[in-house]
Amino acid sequence: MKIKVDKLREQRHDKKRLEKRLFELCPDAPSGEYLAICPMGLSKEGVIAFSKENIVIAHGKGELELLDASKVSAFKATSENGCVFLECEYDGKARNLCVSDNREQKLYTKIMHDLAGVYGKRELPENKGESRHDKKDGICPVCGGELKPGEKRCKKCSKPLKLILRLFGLTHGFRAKILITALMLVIISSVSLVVPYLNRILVDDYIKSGKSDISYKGFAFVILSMVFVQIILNLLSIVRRYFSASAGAGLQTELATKNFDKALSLSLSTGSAYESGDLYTRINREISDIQWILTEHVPNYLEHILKLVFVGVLLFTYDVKLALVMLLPIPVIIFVFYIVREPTHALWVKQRSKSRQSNSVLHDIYSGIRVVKSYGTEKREFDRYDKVSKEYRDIQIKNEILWPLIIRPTFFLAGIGEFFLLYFVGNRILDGSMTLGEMAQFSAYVSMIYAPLRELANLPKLITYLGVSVNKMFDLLDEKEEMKDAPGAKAVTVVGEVEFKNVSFGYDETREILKDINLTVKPGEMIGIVGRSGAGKSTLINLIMRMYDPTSGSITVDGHDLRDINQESYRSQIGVVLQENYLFTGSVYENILYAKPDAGYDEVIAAAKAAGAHVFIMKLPDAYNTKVGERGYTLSGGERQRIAIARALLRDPKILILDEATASLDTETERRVQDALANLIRNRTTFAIAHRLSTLRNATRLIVIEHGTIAETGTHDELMEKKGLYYSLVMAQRNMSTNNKSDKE
Amino acid sequence: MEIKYNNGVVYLTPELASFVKVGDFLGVDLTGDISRLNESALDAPRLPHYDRVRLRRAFPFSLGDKYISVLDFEQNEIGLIEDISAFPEKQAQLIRNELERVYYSPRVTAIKSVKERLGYAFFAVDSDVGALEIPLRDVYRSLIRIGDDRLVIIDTDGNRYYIDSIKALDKTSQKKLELYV
Repeated sequence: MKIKVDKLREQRHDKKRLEKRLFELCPDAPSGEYLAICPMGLSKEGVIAFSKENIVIAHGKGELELLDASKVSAFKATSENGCVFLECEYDGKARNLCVSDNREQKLYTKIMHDLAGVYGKRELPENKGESRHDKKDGICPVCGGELKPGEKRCKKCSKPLKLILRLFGLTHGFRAKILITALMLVIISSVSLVVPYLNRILVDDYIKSGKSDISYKGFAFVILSMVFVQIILNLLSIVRRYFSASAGAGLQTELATKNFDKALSLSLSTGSAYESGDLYTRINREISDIQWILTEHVPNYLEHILKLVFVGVLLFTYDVKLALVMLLPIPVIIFVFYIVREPTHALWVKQRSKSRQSNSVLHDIYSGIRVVKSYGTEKREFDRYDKVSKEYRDIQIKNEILWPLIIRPTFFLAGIGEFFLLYFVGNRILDGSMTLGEMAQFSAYVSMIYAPLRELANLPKLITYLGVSVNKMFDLLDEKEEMKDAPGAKAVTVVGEVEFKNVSFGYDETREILKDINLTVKPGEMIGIVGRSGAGKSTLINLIMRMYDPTSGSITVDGHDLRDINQESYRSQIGVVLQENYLFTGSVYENILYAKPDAGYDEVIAAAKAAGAHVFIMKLPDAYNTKVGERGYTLSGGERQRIAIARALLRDPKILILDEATASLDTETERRVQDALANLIRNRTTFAIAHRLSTLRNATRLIVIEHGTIAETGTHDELMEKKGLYYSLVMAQRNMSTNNKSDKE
Repeated sequence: MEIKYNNGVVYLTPELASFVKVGDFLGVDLTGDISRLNESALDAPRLPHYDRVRLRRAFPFSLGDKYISVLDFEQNEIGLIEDISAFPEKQAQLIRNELERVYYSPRVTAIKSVKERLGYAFFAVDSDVGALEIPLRDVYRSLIRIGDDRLVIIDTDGNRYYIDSIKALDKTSQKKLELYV
């Protein structure tokens, strides 16, 4: 199916059409082959065309401008909040070529890349596979329609009923149980119709029969039948509950694991777009809400609806006139429900979103509790929480007042049919055409219809609840995985040769963080990465770990493109020590073992010893079995760091990444960790980022990154001799430390 | 056995070390070439004889008789015993006795009652050293599961009590525990 948004874009970018327009505007434009041609965007009418000789700009009718291609260099697409500029360097000066709103971002970036090789100096290699930017395409993942900014699905696909239907699509494996539940409901509803019938027999044939020779045997039989029916109904309900509950619990687990799996598979950038509290509620609360509604309410409503239908049919076969009277108010009721649906819907949506907001605030504050405490902003944060929880309270109170105002009159309307019936049936009894037993039977049927009808008034509320929860859940499930393994990606045993070929990368389309990086690292080399904050050091490391793919160019490991290597196998051969390393709740032993679950005790001890951790671990209350992490024994930064190093050592990685591994430590601890690191680095390809340049003294080579490019490479001595960037960085640090010393003196 | 990173990890084998009783304490004689052992810069130089050594289990919960750290009195590690049972029976017994002394921890055999008062819980239990009352501050934190079936109880004073097998307890004791683990 052609997607609407693509069709529009194709139309807009159609080369022939644009060429035609160019010559319409400016008939004297040079004819020839155009490499690319695009609309001017904001100026609507204009066209800009690129050929090998010229850049032809048609601003409007007759307004033609020609730029000599030989003077053009360095294309750039820059994006502002609401628009994109395509710029170039012309005759040594920056020039703006065209401006458009954000929908042309992709086209401009493409032109920038395509033409860089034609006009400028740099040859960009062909970009392999799908670019990470493609995900910004505004395409609904369900139906393929166009999305508005910020939407995950189009409006149509976000309708509660549509989503609930999609939810049922996820019930494979529980279908049999759901079917049995439905069957049970049919049986229960039909069996319950027998009770009023027995009532009638009881009244007409025995109690009010007026006969003197009542068979007490028959009388007892009717009573016993009533007991029997009740027993059957209860038994069936138990069976029904068993099946619906086990289907519900199964579905809940299925959904929760599916969501969690998804959350884990998202790349860092998308994953971090969700607050962790938000992710937690999505996986936990929303899904248990869904389960609760599906197992507690949906069967009930189904039962009500079934009874409604059965009783209706029964009444019509028995007495059409009577049935009509009884059913007369139903359309009215449904109409009233329909009217109140919208306002009540709004009430509950508001309440839900406030409740979620208050949860989220709480989680946010508590995640940052250290900052809160250290800034002494408890009062402010309390007020913030207080505000949302009061808003939540207010909305609850308001809803609790408004709800009965809406629902009570509706209930009254819903009950009005019973008065009709009373009048009608009363008349019939008075004129003798109906017995008392029949009246009892009919009253029972009426309440069987009207009680469910009242319940059905709550249906919109439930659908909303379910819709909101399901919506939230599908938001996550519909998130596109950016870093999928390419088909045919294989597991590779890494030796450790890493090569960057013309690698460029930016987190968004127009801002390149890394530009044209070329670097070859031999197995076993230690590369120190140096540079100012924001120069692109961590980005480089993220690319090596394949947290992201390069926008253009390629990274190879032992000659294999990273995109062709199975991610799991690749990452299992990388060791990482970060500035802050998370220890999971569990023992020290388990935390070290995390890197290699099948390692023996002796290996763990050896790794800890090499990491300089064994001595302090043996001093912990339960040595290696001491619990750490949340609710456990608190370790110092240096201790945590050494456990992380032991973890990395145990993994025996071929490629090692040290991202400011010693930055948060004091000098003495750092010396110890450095010794531990020296053990770790041996015979492994290592990439180390450090601000404290002295920590890179073991590096075989240093690369200095400046504005996203490699500015200098060489050994410490070579770079010092060169007196370039590295030299100035080292000098700046030396001055700082001597200043610090003299300050102290 | 090949050990991948034996940087400084020294295993005290029966050929290398013999444990002796020196007065009330456990001592050790290192035989053979001890200079070879002085690999780790962080540990103190090793002596041919120690009058008194300390023992610490590296994995007190998961391994009782294996990976025992032997420390001098300044807490410098002389070496690790990989497995006590590798030593001659007499020495092994000495080591076990010392461990038993250091890691004094009664084995709970039955739970009689659990009372909760003002955030504290009192476990009345039977143990291999008789009936005990164990006061706990935060029950959930004080009961630490080891694997599937074992449990350590740490009381308000830091004493440890072991339940070697929860499943081996009688049904009533199990029911009482079930609420907390």
